Amino acid sequence: MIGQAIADGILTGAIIALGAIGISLSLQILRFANFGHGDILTLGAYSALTFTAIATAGVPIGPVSFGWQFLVAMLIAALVAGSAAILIDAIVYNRLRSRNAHRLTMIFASFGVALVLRNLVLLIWGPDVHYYSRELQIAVEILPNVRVMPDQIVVLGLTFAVVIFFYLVLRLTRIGMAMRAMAESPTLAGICGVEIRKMIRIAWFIAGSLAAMAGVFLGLTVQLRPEMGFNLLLAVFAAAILGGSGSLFGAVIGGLLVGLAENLSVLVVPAGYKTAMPFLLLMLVLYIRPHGLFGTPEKH
Amino acid sequence: MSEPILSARDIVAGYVHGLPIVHGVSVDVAPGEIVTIVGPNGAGKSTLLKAIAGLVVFESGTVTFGGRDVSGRPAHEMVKSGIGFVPQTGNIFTNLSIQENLIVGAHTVSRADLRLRLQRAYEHFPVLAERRASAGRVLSGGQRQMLAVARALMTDPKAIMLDEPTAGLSPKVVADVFADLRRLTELNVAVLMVEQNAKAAIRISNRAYVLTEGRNYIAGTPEALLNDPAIGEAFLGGRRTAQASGAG
Amino acid sequence: MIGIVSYLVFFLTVVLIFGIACLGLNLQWGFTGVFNAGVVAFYAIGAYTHAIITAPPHPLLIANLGLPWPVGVLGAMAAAALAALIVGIATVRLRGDYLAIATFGIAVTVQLITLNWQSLTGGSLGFTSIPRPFAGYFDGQLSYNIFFLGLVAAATVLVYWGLERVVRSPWGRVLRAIREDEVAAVALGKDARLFRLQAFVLGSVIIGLAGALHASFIGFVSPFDFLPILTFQIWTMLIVGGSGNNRGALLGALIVWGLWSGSGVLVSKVLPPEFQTQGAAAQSILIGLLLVVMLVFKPRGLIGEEPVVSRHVG
Repeated sequence: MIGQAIADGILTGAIIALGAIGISLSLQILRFANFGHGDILTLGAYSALTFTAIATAGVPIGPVSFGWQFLVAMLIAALVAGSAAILIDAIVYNRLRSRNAHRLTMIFASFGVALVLRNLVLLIWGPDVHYYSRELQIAVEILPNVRVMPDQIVVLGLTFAVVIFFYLVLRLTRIGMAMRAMAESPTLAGICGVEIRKMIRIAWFIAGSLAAMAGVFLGLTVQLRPEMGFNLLLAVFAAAILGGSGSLFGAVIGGLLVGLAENLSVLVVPAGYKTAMPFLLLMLVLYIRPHGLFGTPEKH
Repeated sequence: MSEPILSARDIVAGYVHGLPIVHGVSVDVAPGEIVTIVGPNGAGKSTLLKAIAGLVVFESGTVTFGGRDVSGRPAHEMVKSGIGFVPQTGNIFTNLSIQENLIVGAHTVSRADLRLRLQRAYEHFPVLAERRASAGRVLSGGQRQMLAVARALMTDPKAIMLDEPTAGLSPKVVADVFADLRRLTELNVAVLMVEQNAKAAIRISNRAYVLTEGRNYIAGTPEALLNDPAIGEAFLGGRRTAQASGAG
Repeated sequence: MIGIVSYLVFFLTVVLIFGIACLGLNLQWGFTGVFNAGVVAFYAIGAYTHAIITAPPHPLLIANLGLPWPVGVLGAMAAAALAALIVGIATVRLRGDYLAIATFGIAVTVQLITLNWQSLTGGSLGFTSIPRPFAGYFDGQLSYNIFFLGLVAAATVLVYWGLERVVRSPWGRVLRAIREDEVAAVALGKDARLFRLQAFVLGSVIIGLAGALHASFIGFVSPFDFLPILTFQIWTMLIVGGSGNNRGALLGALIVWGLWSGSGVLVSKVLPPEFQTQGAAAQSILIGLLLVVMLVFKPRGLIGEEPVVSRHVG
């Protein structure tokens, strides 16, 4: 039982972590809690659905349920969601920013954006549950009494590949360094010649495309529903804050903790309360360490 | 004084639109010249530099640089036009390594030039070379200042502005920083700085401005200012109060 | 004609109930700058508490008490206060956006409780037969509804009058001072936190009152009456009307609920049954757009805050 819950927790946690990195970027670079992030995730998942509807998910490779076409769909989804995020910024958030709006005003706006996005998905793709592929999969017993789907293993691997890639971008490229610089001090970054507007667009694109991948992975291992992202939002926020907003690996560890908490809670409390676990964990941590597990106090 | 490369005319600027702190100040700096701005706390010295650097609300006035009008441009454009700025506080990225600080400082520099600039920075400041992988937060005050100057020089600016480069440094380190600045002028860089350490700063300067209440009060050569008893009494009065002076 | 009158009475009653909730939110956000992203949680707590206290005993439910209406209303307000106190103590010291996330989490948790704690809440079905106050004195539906409208109007006037006094009191001025200057608020330290907590609790009590009125007006409660969209709607009402202004809060309730039910009528009349879901989605998009458009183009709302110039709202 516990072994299975841990395995499920790690898998859910990895998907949450992908979402949490984007939230972390919003908190650090865009400087507000973006409540629209979950629905960007949904948009990404459904964009991939449209592509697989046209091109199919491909001929299954080995035991997994999809072929290479699905990976293309994932990249397209990332592109669509990333571009949508940039577009929304240009239409909404940039106007607020140029007026020096309070960051809570930005949060409001993100509420509105979330509502619009979620219902656009509902309008375009309908309220029904969707799947990328109807291929049947046989669970593999990786440890005694721990079974996982081959898709889940692939998703886990891809997630970590994406995280490591993003880490290397942040560490080794000049854009990555400029982003980290901007997270610390937009003023000084500007003095160094870093164009804030451009960095903000890049941050949106990265947050959006990582969210899309999380959405695709969630859709692949669970299902697609118009509320999928919104329902994940709390877990994603919890992960980002637990990890101490701003640190990439913090977000990953936060995601894993949240995923584990959700899945292990089922052993103790009724399954219906599972989605409240991230929140309870978050409250507990904020009570003890207001800056998250790995974060440092913010300078005012 | 030769033809100024950086010339600010009648600058009106402040932190909030409609509430200027600087009320029509003018300063000039020529290539290879060190110009110091001194004055009491709240005189608008820092605000003036920030206004030129594109960091505060620019109400009116003109800034020309190398003959081009660059008034009220955002900070990242000022860097591209060749003006470097070292703010007083928060002038390095504490979460980035020294090398990363320098690379971000050279954000507008091409990849090919970056390598040479890094090499040059490490030659100028060997201490930084030794600690290139350390995070900015572990540096001492003097090293931070050094890094901040080195960072600003990465773009090969024709003019560099420094906001109290010696604040909080020990006398020995102050002398080092001033020596570094003198060395810059040999490369024909124009240096404009705000200093609380007024007498020492004026001594190494070619010219100095005294500001009060957001306006030009007097300007002159070091000798003229240092020997004017009225000015010495009012603005350069040997002893500084111990307080940190961020408000200027 | 009767149809129109009875619809209008129904409509105005709902507007006033939401108006009360909006007034509660206005105390939290408009006057104090405390971000409550879980309005629906306190509304639902009020509604469910009232339902549990007043509904007649039921074999499958543990707590239905069948107590009189005023007890239900007071109990609802007390429950909302208690919930706000628990949440507030843990979160009110947090930065604005963390508070938003925490209150959002409360809303999710409350929704899960209403869905899952079957023996208390009736689970996904909720429960019916919540008595309507003084219903015995009226023989017609319409005359009763007119009476209930009067009751809600009286409650609205009372809340409005009380809040107007509160925000003009020295206590209210402190709230605004805290809102205007987060730095000063931090410098005030514990005191500022206490003020924020008080405003948060009092606002939640008012939202809980609105929930209780909702439950006794509709006569039943279920988790699907208290969806997250309710939070958005009440926020939009406040932003449209103008936060920091109690008249604005009420005007916003009228306009937004008017748009919402107007578009709802349109959807149900114009669209064929198979497109009703899409119609509802379009309604939500309308609310979302309204919120964003107001924030971008008219951040002070239709009425906006009175004299004091505010950096905060922009």
